[in-house]
Amino acid sequence: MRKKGIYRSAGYETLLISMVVFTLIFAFAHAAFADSKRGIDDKSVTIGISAPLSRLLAEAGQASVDCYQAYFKYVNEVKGGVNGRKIKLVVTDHQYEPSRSLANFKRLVVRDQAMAVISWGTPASTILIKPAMEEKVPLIAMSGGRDLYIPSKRYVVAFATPWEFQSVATVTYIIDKLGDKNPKIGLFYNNDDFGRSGKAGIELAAKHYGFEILSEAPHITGSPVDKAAVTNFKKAGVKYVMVGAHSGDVSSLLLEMKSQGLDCDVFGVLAPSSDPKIIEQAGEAAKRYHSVDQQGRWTDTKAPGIQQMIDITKKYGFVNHMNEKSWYYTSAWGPALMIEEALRRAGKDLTVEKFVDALDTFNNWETGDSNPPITLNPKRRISCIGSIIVKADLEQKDLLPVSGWIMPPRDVAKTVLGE
Amino acid sequence: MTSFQYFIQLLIDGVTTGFIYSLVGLGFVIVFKSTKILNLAQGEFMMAGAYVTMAFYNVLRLPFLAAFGLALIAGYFLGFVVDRVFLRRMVGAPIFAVVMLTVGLSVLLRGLVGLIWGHDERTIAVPLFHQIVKAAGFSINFGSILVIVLCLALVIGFGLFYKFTKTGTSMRATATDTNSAMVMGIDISRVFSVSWGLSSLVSVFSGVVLASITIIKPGMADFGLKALPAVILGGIDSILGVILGGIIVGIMENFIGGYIGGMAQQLSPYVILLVVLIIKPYGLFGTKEIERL
Amino acid sequence: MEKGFALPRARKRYYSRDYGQELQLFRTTSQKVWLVALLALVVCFPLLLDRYTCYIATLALAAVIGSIGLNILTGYTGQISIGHGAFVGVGAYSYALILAKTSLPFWLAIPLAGAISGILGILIGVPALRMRGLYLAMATVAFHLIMDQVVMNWESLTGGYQGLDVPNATLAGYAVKSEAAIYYVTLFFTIALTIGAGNITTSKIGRAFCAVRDRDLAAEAIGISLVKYKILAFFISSVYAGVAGALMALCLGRISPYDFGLIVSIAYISMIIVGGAGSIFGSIIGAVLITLLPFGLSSASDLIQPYYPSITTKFGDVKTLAYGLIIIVFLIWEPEGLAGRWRKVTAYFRNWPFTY
Repeated sequence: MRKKGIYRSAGYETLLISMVVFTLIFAFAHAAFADSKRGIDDKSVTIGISAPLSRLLAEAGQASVDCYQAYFKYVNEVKGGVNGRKIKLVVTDHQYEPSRSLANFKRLVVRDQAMAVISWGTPASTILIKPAMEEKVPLIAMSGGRDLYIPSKRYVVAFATPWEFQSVATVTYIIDKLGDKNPKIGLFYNNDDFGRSGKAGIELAAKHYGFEILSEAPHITGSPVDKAAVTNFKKAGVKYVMVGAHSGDVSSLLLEMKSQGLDCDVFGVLAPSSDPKIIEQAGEAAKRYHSVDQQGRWTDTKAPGIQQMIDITKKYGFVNHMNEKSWYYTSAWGPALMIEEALRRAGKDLTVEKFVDALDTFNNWETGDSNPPITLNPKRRISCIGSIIVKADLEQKDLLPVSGWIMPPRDVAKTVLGE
Repeated sequence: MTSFQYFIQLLIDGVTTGFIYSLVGLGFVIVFKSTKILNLAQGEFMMAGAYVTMAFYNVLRLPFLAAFGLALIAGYFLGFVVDRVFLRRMVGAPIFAVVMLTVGLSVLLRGLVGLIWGHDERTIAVPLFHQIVKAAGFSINFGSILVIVLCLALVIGFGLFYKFTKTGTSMRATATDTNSAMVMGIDISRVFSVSWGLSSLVSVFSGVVLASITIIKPGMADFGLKALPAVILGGIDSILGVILGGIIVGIMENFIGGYIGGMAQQLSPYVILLVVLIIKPYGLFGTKEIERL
Repeated sequence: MEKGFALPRARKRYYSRDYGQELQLFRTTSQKVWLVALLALVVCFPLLLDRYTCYIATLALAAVIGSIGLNILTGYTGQISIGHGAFVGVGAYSYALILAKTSLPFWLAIPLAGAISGILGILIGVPALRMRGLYLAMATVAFHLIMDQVVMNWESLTGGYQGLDVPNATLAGYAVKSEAAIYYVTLFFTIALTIGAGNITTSKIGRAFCAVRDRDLAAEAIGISLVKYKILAFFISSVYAGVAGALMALCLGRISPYDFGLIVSIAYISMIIVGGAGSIFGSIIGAVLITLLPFGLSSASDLIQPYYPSITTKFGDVKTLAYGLIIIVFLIWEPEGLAGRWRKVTAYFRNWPFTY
């Protein structure tokens, strides 16, 4: 590169040196934002949300945000806030881009003075681990990503049941409830976050229970189901098809199985595959469809937590999610309850540290059966380990529970959580 | 299932997948044939067509054929309007600018659809689509047969249209040499608008077909890009080519999936695309462009 | 040549009396004054802005580097590439892996990441020699999608969808972590690479690029080796993209394939469209605008939020809509981008009152 031109006219070396000097100066000037009363005043506490509100998984983000808004409105209006403080929500959109998620986090903490941040989505949450720990900002991640809770970090809490436990629960159900000791299993999984976690879980189960996965079929999210996958299943003589995919792909698979004449029990191994839309889309083909779930169902009105959720949703006008029986909406219910309870436990003179300490005090805390019992302590940073199996009911057009909360076997829990 | 049966099943499945690719790719070809523009928004036109059909069918509760017919008209209209409003002003612009315009259009359409209908996943239950026909131990979806029949009908229809009708002939003339066509008195702007409208019409077909196989959500537009390998392999301005290209890509993809499996299958269409572009960019039946100084 | 005759200011900018003058990037005094002012402002940014804005500014600077790279390839050499995001991603992952697996300092890792990306660019450039226009665009799209899948699946190397942690950069034992420090590092590379690009484009190489863009067969006929210059263009643009990716990795702290999808390639192309193809100044403007656009729109939606609370959930689609609309509007009405518009405006004033 010929630098003759600029080299003569501007002080190129001066520029270079000043850059290095500035970098050195600011390398030391690392101001953490550990303000202990950030976002808290006598009347309100500010909580920020970063969720995908457009493009990929926008339906998930929109539903979750609406749920938080409904519940916190209820808390503010009916209960007068928590310890006299109203909860103020600031919502940002990360469009499922981690760089955007980091920008949202900085904005929420620096500009909006959020005390805590809720984040939706695995890549969007994992990018926030470092900043949350450095800035001492409580991060409540709605995702089951392993890096969030292993190793355990003080300021990071994941609200989910680990994916592996969910998949293992399906196998536990097959072996214990259905009594099939050596199941012939075929695995269909999406080639992304969800799918691969499901695959990992089934492989763990295979190791624990001692059987082999007969046929595996990866799949690109959203594209038509590869017919070869189903043909391979038929060829291998599979009796249980385990699916690790989003609802749309699950229904495509069910339809494809029907069209190729493969009639056997199908188990969705990850909670999002319990979406009742699958029954709507697949119709008759969903007759033998089961799924695992990590939370309660809209139609389970016997559960007090679910009934409360339905009432509050109706009251604040988010009925579209209720009519769709949105899974993502329900998934935000648990964390909302947990946040309110933690704020309450932190007491009248709330600080950030007290909130985090309060989060550590949950021990099998019941949520009215809307979610599995929540346990959090300094070693356990993922809220739930229970799962429930639901089965398709074509008249109700939903999946209904056919089991209680299934906990993973001891050694599987140890492998995953390391405790 | 014997390995011969497996082979034949894969073949059948490959052909049906291939025809879906061809159906989607037909839209690309029709536009390119007349205007030499690669419409990267084809997937979004398809998505818009599916949403409009869903709106007519689910929301307004019209009988399926009526909803479909209305959607076809709306699709034609959409293509026509796109040409008049946007592409009219790009006449004479470098090809890069026009292709980027279609990319901009695709982003615009996605945002619009998301805004109007939201991101929730919807379904559309096309009657008759999912019954199974069993023959000699092989099963094939009635819907797949419908797709093949539809595709062939469209291809034959377009072939006849191009060869025998006045509009079709003028479209072919415009494609061969725009200036001469103008000299001969053909209304070029009308030809362009008609070809965009027709391509959009075909997209509505493929959108509905795709919607009945998977679900309707704004992300379904990504399937448009998946049809590119079929289009390029066959030759981007050849209708016969897109059929053959689609079938070949579909069969190869299914065989790779059946015998090698996994990631190789997902990658194979794009690898095929790259290989074709490197070796024989004009495809099997495309017209070769000779670059002159 | 007479030494005594000094060219008037305006003439100095457009007419040169020797080759040395021709190569100067900033010729007139007023240009130099503006340059110093801009640099002073940019250097003081971290002192004036809060940490969030500092972070966004860093993202914008990294985008500037990438956009200059793409402009060299597409604007100057005419090779349409919609796969730029893949090179950025390669740079980012290379940086993270170099820091993780070797003990090289970060200021060495960044150029090295650029070099790795550059080598990939050469590998792509070779088959790209055979293709032109539309077909090249499609090939680059296919390449990008393939790279996407490779990164997602090669979990042992890239961590798959979970992403890869980027180890902290250290300078003499102290961690370069704060937004301001990262900003200065990025600023340093941006300035250095911008000047480099300016020099490249005004030199023989730049002229050869333009010749290839305008009429490549004719260029070959007069002796400009297409092979050499096309591959060189791919190399340079990938190096720039790689450095941009490495800086992004430094800035983000953790990278995953979701940051480097087809959306990113489209974003870079729109930066060039909005800014102006074939102009370094244009790529800078385009990069800054397109990077800041979503944040600006979010601020706008926040203003409306008190009056219309449910707008936030819908606003994402409005952003997408606005983005597409901007691309279309610029292509139809401002095909030369903002740099072109700037050129026309200054030409008007320069020639006033003689507009023709």
